[in-house]
Amino acid sequence: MQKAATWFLLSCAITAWATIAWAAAPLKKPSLSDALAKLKVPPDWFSEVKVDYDTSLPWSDARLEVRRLLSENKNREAIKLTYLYMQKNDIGDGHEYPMYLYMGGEYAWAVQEYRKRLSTLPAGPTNDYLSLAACYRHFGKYAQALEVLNIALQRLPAPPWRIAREADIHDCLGDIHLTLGNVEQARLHYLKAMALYPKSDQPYGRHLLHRRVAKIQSKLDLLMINALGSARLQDGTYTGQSLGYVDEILVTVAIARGRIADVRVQHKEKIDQNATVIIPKRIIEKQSLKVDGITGATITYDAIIDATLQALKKAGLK
Amino acid sequence: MKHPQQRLPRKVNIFLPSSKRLTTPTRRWTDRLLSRMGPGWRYSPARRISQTLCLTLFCWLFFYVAWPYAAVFTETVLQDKELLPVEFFLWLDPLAALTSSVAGRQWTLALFGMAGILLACFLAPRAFCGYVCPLGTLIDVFDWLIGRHITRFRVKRRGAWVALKYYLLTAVLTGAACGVMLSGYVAAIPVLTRGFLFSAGRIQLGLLKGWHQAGPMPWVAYLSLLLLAAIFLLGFLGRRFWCRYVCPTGAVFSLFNLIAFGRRHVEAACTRCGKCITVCPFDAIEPDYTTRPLDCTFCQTCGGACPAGAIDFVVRPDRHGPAAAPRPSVARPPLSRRGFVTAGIVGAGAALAARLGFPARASAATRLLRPPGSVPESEFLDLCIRCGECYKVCPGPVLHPASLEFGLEALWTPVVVPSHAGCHQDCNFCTQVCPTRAIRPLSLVEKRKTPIGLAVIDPKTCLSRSGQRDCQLCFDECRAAGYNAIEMRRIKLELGDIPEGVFSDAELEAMSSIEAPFVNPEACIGCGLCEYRCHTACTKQDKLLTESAIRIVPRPPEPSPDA
Repeated sequence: MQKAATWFLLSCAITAWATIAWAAAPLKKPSLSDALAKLKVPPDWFSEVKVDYDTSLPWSDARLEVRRLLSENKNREAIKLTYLYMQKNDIGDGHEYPMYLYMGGEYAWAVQEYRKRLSTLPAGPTNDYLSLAACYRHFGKYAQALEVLNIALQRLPAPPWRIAREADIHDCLGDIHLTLGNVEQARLHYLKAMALYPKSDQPYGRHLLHRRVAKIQSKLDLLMINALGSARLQDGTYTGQSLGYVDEILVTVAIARGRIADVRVQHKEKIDQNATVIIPKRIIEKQSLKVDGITGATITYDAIIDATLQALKKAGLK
Repeated sequence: MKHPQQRLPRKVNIFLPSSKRLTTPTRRWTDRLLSRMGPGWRYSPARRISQTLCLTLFCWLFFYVAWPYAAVFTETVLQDKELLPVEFFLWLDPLAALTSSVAGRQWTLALFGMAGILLACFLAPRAFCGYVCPLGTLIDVFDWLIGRHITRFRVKRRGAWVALKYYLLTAVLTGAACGVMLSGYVAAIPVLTRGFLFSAGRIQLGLLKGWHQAGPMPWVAYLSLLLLAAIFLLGFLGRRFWCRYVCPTGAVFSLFNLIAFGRRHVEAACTRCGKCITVCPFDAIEPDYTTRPLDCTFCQTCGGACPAGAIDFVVRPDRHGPAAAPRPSVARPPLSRRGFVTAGIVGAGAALAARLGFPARASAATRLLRPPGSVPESEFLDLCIRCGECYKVCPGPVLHPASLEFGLEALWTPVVVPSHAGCHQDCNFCTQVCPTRAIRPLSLVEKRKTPIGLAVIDPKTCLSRSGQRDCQLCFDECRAAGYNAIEMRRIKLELGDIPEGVFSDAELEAMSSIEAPFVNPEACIGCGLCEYRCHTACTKQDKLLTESAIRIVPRPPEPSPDA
């Protein structure tokens, strides 16, 4: 299914592309130290925000209201409501307080609360570390984000949740390294995560494991597709496979003088709208895998691109 | 009874007389060429040319027009090529038309074809067999290539063989009268098209589209091939043995000969050399040189062979000639009463056996997936002549011959096999070619609304319905085909105890639900594209399932309006 989920790859690719594009742009990040210095709890805007909720209700009800407000982008109302319950000391084990701050966009405040909270907690709250790391990323503090994540790796939750969370942290580490331009490091973390997910023994949410793997695969593939322009390909012929509409599609790529000289497709598609002829032509013309698709043969198109990528990997595309 | 003002017989000789002197070089050259090609060509070239043309036409229709694949797939792929309808030759088979009408108790379009060919046979009796029938032509080819070299099995005396085809015809017609279609098994053209389909048709598909596409050969296909092979092998018993003694379609023409106008006429010039008897491929000349009118196919080979030029073909009965007076074969009809009764009993028995082999005829609709536009099941079984044209034009192919698991009566009828291919949304080819309209013609718009079956998802095995992993292959397929009969709904998954703080709310939410496919029975026509996708991707390719989690099942019969 990993291969069959190429449709998923495409949608993820757009997300990943945005991430990479964002990383490549010149960075202008707000300063964390400034933000922490300016931070006032409770903040001044509390007086302007009205909370229209009966705070005598228990937190188990109020948290639902907070989530509703967050989902409607009423972040400040949500944060004020959370704060009021925090003051009442009726907020469960308290992990939701910094979490909603982070979700509501109060990154500096969240950093302050997470720092306090994580210093006192036993191992396990991976989500807190991930959120704190995300806050650091917001301020461009990548070194600190990496540090937090490395601590998180030391303080993983108990089984059966251990493996999946470890993989999530590696995924996140990969993203940060990519932002820093350490493509090789990023790849190692992604590969680590991809190897871990299938091993997870978690009893619930197992359908997410495949989704995560596909997402990371798409990140890796995109890295490679982007690298094609500057890649040094070994001359020779290479083959790659991917699942088409009917059966495996086998693509044979010939590399000559470092260029894609020929792409041949062996397939069993019954009705392919000529995609098996047109797509290879387009790949050779553009010397790229970012080529236009063909209406009515999307699955075949995806499979040809994927199989060509698999072949190019063997030709030394990284 | 002699009519007082009877006109002279009108000759319709189209043979090449051997007695004519070879006057011009062109004639001499033609004569030499034709002689080299064989006596059939030399004596009656018109017949050979007609046979060649008809066989070419048949092959052109079968291989070219009935080839459903094109670079770009559209509704008119067949129509664009159709100068003659694909089912042309099937319409010409009078037995197929007759029995489907009788068994189905209705008028079928094929009756026009039958009327047309019988009308032509008024003038030239049984000319279909001599001039048109592609099976006959192929048997001629077989006899010439192989049959003539092996003589040890030759039948010396006609004996009881003469009656066989009439008994077979009686059996088939009795079966039809009992409401069971038997002609599909023995009528000449359906036997040929079906045999072609499972041999040359598969080779064509294998060579041009890949052997995987032909799929594994069902054993009932071998049965059909065996039947065709047996017909050719009968050639060891004598020339055109099948046509002369077995073919029930030929029997219809033979009986029609009794009232036909056309006759072979031998004049007094006859020297009794016996050449015509040797040369006649249909053994239609008595030892006394009179004609066996039931057997003569008007092929005129004898006319060309006669050194005395004593044979003419005429379109009016002529009772003057000395040789024409007694007609022993008419005087002694080949059917004995006992044989006739036996054949009737055999036909009825065969009908009964077929019925018994398929006892759930009434409930058959709940068991079989028929092509779109098929008439109700019991009617379908009576109308379908098992010619196989619908499988031939089916891209994929989706249609396959029914095996014996659906009973003897359903043998070789078309069934939809979605695990081999889904019924393409832009195709209505099978509805365009059925010669007896067992599959009604449907426009593409109609076809897209005509149910074949209904897709049913097994919630226990479906990857996303059971919460194993994201999968929406069936949904994608259905949407791409434009039916939108499958929708993805978010379903809840049970979550147990998960420690606080390990996951975010969003992650927990994602964990506790999944998008899973549901079929909307109103919109689903059971095209099987979804099953095919699930079968290839999840079962064959990724081996996540042992069988497709979405399957096409026959729809329960529509409640009748008065119920």
